[in-house]
Amino acid sequence: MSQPSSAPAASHQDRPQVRTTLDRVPLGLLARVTDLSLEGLLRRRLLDLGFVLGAHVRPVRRSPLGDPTAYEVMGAVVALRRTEAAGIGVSYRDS
Amino acid sequence: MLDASTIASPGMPPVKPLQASRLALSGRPVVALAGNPNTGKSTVFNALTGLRQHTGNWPGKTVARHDGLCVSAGRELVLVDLPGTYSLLANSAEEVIARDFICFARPDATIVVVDATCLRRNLNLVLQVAEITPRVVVCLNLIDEARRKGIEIDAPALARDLGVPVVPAVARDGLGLDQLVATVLAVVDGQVVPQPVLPRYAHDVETRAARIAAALEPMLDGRLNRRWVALRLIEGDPTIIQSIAEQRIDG
Amino acid sequence: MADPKTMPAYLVRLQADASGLTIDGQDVRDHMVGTLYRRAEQIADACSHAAAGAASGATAPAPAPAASSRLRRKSWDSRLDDLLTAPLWGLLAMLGVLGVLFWLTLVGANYPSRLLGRLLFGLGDALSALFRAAHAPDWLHGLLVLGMYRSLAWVVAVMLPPMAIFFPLFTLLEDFGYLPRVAFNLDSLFRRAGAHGKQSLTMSMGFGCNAAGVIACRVIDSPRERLIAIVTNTFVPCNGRFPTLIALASIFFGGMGVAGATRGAIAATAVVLALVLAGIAVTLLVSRLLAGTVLRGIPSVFVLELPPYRLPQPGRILVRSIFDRTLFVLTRAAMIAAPAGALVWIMANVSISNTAGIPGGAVGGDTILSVVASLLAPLGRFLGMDGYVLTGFLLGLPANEIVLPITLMGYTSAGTLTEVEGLASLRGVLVANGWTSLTALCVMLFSLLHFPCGTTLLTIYRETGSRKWTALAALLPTAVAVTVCALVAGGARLIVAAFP
Repeated sequence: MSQPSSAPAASHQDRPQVRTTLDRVPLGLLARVTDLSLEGLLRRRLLDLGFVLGAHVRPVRRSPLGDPTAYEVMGAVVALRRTEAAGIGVSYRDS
Repeated sequence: MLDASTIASPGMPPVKPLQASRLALSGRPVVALAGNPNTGKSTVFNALTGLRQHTGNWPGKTVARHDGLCVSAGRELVLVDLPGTYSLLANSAEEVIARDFICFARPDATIVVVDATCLRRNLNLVLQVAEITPRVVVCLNLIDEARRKGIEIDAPALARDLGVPVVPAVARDGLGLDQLVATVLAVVDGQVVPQPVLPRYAHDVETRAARIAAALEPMLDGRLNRRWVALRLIEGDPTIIQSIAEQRIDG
Repeated sequence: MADPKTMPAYLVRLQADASGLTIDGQDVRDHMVGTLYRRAEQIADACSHAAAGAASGATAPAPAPAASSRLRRKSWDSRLDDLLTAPLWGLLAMLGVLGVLFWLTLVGANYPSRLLGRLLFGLGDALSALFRAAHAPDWLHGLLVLGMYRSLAWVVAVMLPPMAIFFPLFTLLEDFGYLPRVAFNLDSLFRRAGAHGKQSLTMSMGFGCNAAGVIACRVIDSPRERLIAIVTNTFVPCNGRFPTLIALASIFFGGMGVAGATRGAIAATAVVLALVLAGIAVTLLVSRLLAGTVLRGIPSVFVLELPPYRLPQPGRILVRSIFDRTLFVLTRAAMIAAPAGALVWIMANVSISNTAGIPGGAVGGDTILSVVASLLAPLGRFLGMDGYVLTGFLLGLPANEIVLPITLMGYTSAGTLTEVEGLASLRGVLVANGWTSLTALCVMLFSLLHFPCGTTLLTIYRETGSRKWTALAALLPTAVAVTVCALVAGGARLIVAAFP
């Protein structure tokens, strides 16, 4: 795609918008939190770490054994297991 | 202290179970040290207190507590190193301890150590502390590392946006720490009165909070920040009622 | 109105009135945390600028600032992370780091240990001369110099150099920020074992001292997973056991004491590394066992921050590792070594048949120590060791450091610690008492897997507040140690029998 990188919120129709869960976002792509389907302590923990509605999250690396994955969120790097990341609904722009 | 969220009557004796250890008994001002994990909070603590430290556990908890004495320009401050937390929303024992200390032991000032390379997540905690007490001083640590990563932070602008003093520092090299202590002393003495700019929630939340805060007024006696307690009740935090009850009965 | 009794009830009523509020279909708490973060983000973006040259100066409201600045050029720490958490290299790097750590400790500690040994035992000889000159009774000289002083000298000579090398190096890794990467790399293994990913952090602390490792288990919030981490922490060899492992590996697998060759040091390092890996494997297996039986439950939340790497401060590291760790552990060991040395000297010199007589006169014969050792001998042989070693492990309960010295004291007929100046003479004593590579292997395995030391048990009791769990933390590892040693010794015997 020849589009310059722009704010996901600003350009709705430029590229196909993929709605999925965080564990399925390819490494390096920027995603945006759309909903949290987790409950209880885990939900509160993730909110505290910045996985709030509308936050930008980017998977940056995977553990050598495949799980967990490290995500960049709010300027910090936080590792989540696949089961937990699967509870975070996101949308990202396919490139 | 002019802000609506002021905690009133600073002359009230601190509540017993959370008192800042033996070091505080002599009427020295008490300063809490808060911050995210990995922000260099203990570096700041060690640099300010040196070997004058006292280590123990928080009452009834398996969480280590460090108190220390900071001596500067003939003044002595008791520094209480709170557990490193991402928030004060009571999701863990550490967060309850940090919150209860700021809220009930009412330190004369609270330093929030902030990692300049990761400002967003750290400011979240600053805002939460400022919701409880206006007497906040931000220690903007690791500015050298931020610079290496190509981030320059405008400390005066940050102080303006937050409404509290911000002191840039490189704690590991001791840079900025004298200024930090001087600022803290100014806040303790009332020469500087921070007026935090607090986030405003949705209209429904704010009106409800105001209503509950009014209902709480005769009960809290000005001991606690009413708006903050009201907000905790609205969000359904189960630990706050328990903490208030414990404090009231013990004190 | 402000009655403390009725207030909580009133607050509960207020809270009930407020419950169920939603903002734009969102739970009110989510709304509040979201608002806080939006404000934090807003302020952070308004106050941060790109530092160097080309920046436009004013705030360019970048919509995804985390993205733009970082994608263009990768910082050194993210490149380092690419390597240290890469599929194959990440794991190899981990092994490499651990290996280098052991190798430096092993090689670096050898010479100072010998020097210190010569110095301290020389001082002991001077003390002996002083006692003789003062015509002090034999038993007093024996108790104080041969018992207490020599145990103390041994512990200092054997423990101080490796600790003074290991602790600063470990603190360096810790301050650099490597440990969370280890947890990140290994989490999958711990998840499958039903344990918490942060258990690898508490295990890392255990390398220094198991009591410290047990305290470190506080970082695990779930009580179930915390107990698993506490009970299994002893499978990581602490600094009290490392010198023993290093000494035995050097003598029996590194050819050290015969000829100090680099190849030998590498072989010894490989043996120590293999033992540590075996300890990790046992940790995972026992964790799995616990998670499947007494500590069943659902795995808890795993959220781990990977903080940026930080250049460590050498001065701070030295102060912290030498004062907080090395001297702390050494003082504790020394305080136990001195009375234990006295006790063992008495046991080795008071003869059962001659208890009324003056101690110190017993030569060989039926001393308390030899009686105990011979009682334990069948079990010791069954486990590939002997009665004296087993006695050493039992008497070494207060501190693992003194296991080998006690054993040696039992071997020497005079009932006192021999002057062990370095590994060569140590090898001589051990071989003379029938040690083979198999004995050394079994002793090392037993040391790795057996019950935690007294301090650690006390810490476990304090942290769990439960006699039951403390007892389990002592019995379970012992059962594992006995099983493993019996299997190794029995297997070796079978092989020898099959291929004579």
